Amino acid sequence: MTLRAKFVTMGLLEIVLTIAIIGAVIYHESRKEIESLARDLLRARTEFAYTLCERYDELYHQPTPELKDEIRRVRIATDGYIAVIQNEPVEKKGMLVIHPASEGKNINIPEFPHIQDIIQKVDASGPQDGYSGYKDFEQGTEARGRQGEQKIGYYTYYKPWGWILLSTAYEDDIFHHAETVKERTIIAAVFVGILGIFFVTMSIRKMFGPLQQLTELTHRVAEGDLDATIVVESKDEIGTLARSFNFMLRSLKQNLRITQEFEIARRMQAEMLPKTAPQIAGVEIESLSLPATEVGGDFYDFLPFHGSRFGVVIGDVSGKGVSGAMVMTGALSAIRFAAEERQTANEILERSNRRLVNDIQVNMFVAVFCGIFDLEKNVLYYSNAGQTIPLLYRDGEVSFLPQSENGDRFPLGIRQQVNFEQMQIALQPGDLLVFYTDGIVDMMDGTVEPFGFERLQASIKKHAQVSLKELPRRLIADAETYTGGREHSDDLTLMAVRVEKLASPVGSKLDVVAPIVERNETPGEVRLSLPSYIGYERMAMDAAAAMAKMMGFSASRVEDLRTAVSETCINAIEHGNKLNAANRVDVVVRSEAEILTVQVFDNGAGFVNVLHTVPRLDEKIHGNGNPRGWGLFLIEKLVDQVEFKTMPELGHVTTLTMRL
Amino acid sequence: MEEIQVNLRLEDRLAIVDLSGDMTSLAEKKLLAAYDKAVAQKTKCLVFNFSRVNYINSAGMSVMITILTRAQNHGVNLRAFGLSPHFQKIFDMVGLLKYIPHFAVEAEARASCA
Repeated sequence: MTLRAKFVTMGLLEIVLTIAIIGAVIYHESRKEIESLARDLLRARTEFAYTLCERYDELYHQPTPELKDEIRRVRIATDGYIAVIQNEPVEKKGMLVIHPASEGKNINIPEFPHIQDIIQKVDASGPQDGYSGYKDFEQGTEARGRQGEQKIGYYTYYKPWGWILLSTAYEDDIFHHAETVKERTIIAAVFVGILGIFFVTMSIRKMFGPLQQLTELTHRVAEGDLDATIVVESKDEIGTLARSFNFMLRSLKQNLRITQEFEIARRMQAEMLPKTAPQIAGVEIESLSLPATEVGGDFYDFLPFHGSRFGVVIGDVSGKGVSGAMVMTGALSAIRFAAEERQTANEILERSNRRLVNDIQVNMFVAVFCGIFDLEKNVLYYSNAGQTIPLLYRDGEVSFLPQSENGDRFPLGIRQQVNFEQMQIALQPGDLLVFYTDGIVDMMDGTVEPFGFERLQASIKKHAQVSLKELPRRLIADAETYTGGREHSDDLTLMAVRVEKLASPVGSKLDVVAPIVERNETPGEVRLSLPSYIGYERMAMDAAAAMAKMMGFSASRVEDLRTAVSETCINAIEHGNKLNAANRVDVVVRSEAEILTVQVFDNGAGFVNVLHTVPRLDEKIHGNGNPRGWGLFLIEKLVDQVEFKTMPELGHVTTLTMRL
Repeated sequence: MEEIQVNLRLEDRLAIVDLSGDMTSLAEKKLLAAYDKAVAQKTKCLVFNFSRVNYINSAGMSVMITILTRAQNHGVNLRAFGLSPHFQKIFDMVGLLKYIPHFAVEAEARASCA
């Protein structure tokens, strides 16, 4: 049964019941009233007959035929009349003196128990006036052909003539009006019922109209029409529901758009990542990447080089979702582009950094490991920009690849100028190299203990002999067993390279060869590392001034630079490093063509105000304001360009630029 | 780094403050002491000699602003001479020259006090 049918039935039932109850009450009350009126009428007729008897007795001292006629003419209701029953003398007791049909008949017989009852009452009370009440009785005669119908009556006793005067009437005649009321009530009930059905149906249709619309709308939405909407005017609960539905649809559209954007980013990312590992004689390569969200921040790539060289890249963007994917694709493009022009791992990363640092937004960076396998020389050259350190399985032991001690380790996109060191190791047959992002080592088991490097090393050792195709899955399976099957919150990317055979003989142990002297040093570069004490800024200032003089800047601009460098270093010492002696301020002064840049790095977590507000001297003098706060204002006034950058967890870098 | 040296020459309602060394936050104590001493001697015009100051940083300038704030309250006039063109420019950028007029030589600064 539909909700609508239920409401209609309930409404109708309510109407019918109400009318039935009201009708019954009206009928009952009207019947009571009519009965009372009838009793009064019967009594009045009896008293009228009694008065007639008195008058005739007074005038004629006996009943005359006129009197009898007059009594006979009395009609009560339709077929009611007055009967006179002789009570005295005894021999005539029960004789009908006046009756429309049976005059002369004796009715003091058991067939008329009500008559005998009246006679008995009259006799028992002796010479009383006879106002003793009324009596319902059943007419046993054929009087006027209405035998068996219920009658009511009222009697009194006219003692002088021994007459019982009895007015009687048919109940049906009396209650005829009550029946009329009943019939009219039923008609009214039917009429009101029909009207009720009409109104109930109308209101329910109005009420349920929006619900019907909503149902149709949901069907349309289910079929994919998200532009559907419902027009609502009512302010009731159904109206609220419809408005909520419209709101829900808008949110749904928005979410769908986001999902679509995600899908585009996901596809874009999928397109960028290599679908299969390259087939290279002498090595076996396998990779696996499982994003934590639909769009991950991890990436990997294989770089083609001439001859027997090929490169591997594995990286991780600081951020996920669409923005992470954008940075990822940017990073991958930058690396591929750099690999076309540069041949060493450090140069590839440095060149990529130069592009990324200007392209990606502040607070985002890309950790990348870049390795170049030279299968002719049997060497792996590599540089690492903040990525996890790859593991090497050799002779049953797993160890980290040696890390650069002199070069930078910053992820890409943070510092303008980075100098990575290219490391190298000699390869041996059977070497298994595992490159991975931090996702696998950071997998948590629900406590504070992550899967970690040691477990990963143990896992590599355990599965070192399985087929390479199987290896990444085995390692992830071990991590998942450790975490108890919890969903990984970070992307998981693994790349494995197994050295099968080598073209030329190699050494027997892990050889760390000295860094290649191919650092992309700029000739006009001076580096200083200052302790975080006020006063040391003078050294940076002097170095910058010396460089500016060498480049041919005018004396006044050299002075401007001195002040700007001094103020920048003071900011780094006081605000960035908070005068903490453990933190140092690094200063790099570089001259490139006609451009002089001074970069000041701090590695403190302090707050460096980079708001470009202009302090006002009047306010400081008259408003009792802090007399300090001029540093930033002066720096911006004195050099051509100032750039502030915050590196999460690493500190800040301020770059001052002056052009000749 | 050369710590500031302050020499106060008190005259009738006039005082010359000879500075030598670096004007940094470290100068505040000595300079305020000299200022207080001068004001105690009913000095109405205070002349700063910057001719032997080689380095002024923003904190050093803040010291001058602190003195300027006090001088404004005490009705004391401030003058300066001997600033290098660079620091004249810095003083101008900050707005200090409006309150502390700068003169090439001491005689001119003195004359402006009269």
